[in-house]
Amino acid sequence: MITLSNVVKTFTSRFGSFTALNGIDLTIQKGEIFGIIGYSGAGKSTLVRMINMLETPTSGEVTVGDTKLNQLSSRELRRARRKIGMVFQHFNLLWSRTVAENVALPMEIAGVPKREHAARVMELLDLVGLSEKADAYPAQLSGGQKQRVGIARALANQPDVLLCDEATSALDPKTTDSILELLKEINRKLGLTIVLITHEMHVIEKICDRVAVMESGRIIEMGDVVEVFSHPKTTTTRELISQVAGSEQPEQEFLEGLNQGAVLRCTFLGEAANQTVISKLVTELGVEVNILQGQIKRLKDIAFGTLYIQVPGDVEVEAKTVAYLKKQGIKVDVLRGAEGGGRS
Amino acid sequence: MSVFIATYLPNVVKFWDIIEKAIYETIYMVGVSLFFSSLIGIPLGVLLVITSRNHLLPLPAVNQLLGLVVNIFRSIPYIVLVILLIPFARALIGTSIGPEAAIISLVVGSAPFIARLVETAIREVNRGVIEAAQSMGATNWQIIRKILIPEAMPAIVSGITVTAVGLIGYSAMAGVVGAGGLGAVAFNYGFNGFKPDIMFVTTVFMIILVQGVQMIGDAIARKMDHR
Ligand SMILES: Nc1ncnc2c1ncn2[C@@H]1O[C@H](COP(=O)(O)OP(=O)(O)OP(=O)(O)O)[C@@H](O)[C@H]1O
Ligand SMILES: [Mg+2]
Repeated sequence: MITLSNVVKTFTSRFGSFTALNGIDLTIQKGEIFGIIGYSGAGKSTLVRMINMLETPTSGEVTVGDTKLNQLSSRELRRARRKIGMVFQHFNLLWSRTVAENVALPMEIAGVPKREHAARVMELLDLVGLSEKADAYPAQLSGGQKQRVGIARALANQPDVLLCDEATSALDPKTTDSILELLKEINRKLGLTIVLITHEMHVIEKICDRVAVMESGRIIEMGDVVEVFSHPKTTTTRELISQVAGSEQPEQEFLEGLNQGAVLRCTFLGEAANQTVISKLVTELGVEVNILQGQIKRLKDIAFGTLYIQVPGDVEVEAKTVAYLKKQGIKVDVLRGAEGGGRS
Repeated sequence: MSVFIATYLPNVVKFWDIIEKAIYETIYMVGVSLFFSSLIGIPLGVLLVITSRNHLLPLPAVNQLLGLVVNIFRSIPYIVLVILLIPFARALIGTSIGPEAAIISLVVGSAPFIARLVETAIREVNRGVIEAAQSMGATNWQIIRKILIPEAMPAIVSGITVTAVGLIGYSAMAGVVGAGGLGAVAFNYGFNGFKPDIMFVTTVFMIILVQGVQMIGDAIARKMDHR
């Protein structure tokens, strides 16, 4: 459905040049939800904007359907864009128009006869659950509702592809989930291909079929979400995955207040067998384990997350425990050694 | 009331016909000039924005030329403009006095002003919204008509209101050089004719006009603003 081959984008300004995309090869299948994740500045937006030529490649090729977008005349490009919807982080609605008028805008632009607008607008507002807000102005809506309007608008001309650039990044977690549900529903109902940019692993985990991890203008990892989650090959991916489970460290004062014994941070990076390691620690090694805090998230059979545990006992118990956990593929950091005092 | 008027504003009663006509002349001059200066100023303002760097139609040379022309006209004092345009008015409408002649100089003086106000208003339109329209396949013309102007409309209306208020003042100045209107009456009858009551009343009418225009302009802008 969408193919980028060897796409390079170099921005040149009078201060010099910057390569935001450095040889991107990517194929996105028809009907899938494809996620692109990476830290700020990785080039995600630049990449997704290539797919509707809001950004033109310095070199390389972009194909959507069977159209080579980078070879089109501007008139042909405008026509092709009607079949590629886009949803924005900051919604980009016209505040001078009502919700219904906003949704009708792409039809006006495409020259759809006016008498067909009303029915289509109602159908779309129904799909996104905003029928009763048709005559409201965007300023009267919540962020989640604004994004629903944005989605309805993007779907107005029955596109084959929906591009979402951080569509949920301006929303709270609950609203994010409801928007993600909506996108999933649209993907199933209408069978359109969704390309979704985010810096939150949660978004990927929740709705994506496949994922590409970006760093410094390159795709550093790509594959089925479960596959990439279970065998992350790069530190960046591991870090991104650990976001999914809360991993903030307990307060230093709290650690100092604990009675003796080692305090360990165990990071599950997906390759570890599963959570039974903790209970095995107790049964097989006979060490006591006191779980302090942490969160383990599961995707299919794989566990991700961080666990803070306290192991009462001396240095020997600590060493034994650390060795055992490491053998199980868990990353262990000693936050406090067995005989008290911080070591890291 | 009528006793009061007869006592303190005797000339106003005597010359009421002339004052009344002057009110209409002023409204006519301001209205027509405002119409034509908007007709020129709005497209000029749009051009000033879209031809600038990183906008819809970057044409640096055109942009700089337009900016220069606008600045030149904006820096000429109005009274000098009136004099400079005398031959032009003669050529165009056959006379250099009367309301029509004044309208020419008023338009030339205020169109560049409107252009700058419209430019500022349109620059405020969120880039994201323009981009959204582009992502839908909009042409530049569609973006101007459906995005830039409607989104900037409250600010444009405020700008036109400011211009209208300015035009009321300038039309009075034009009156002094033979354009008619309240300014002419104030000057010819009030000042030169030693009739302070006429000077006073014409000024009051100008204040009322300014207030009215401001109120109407504000109301329209408020009604259009759905932010
Ligand atoms: N028009 C431009 N001119 C110059 N540099 C640009 C331009 N657009 C983007 N860049 C640079 O390209 C890099 C990638 O930008 P991009 O917006 O694609 O990142 P991103 O991954 O979407 O980040 P974020 O999560 O912050 O949105 C950044 O370093 C940015 O500064
Ligand atoms: Mg971005």
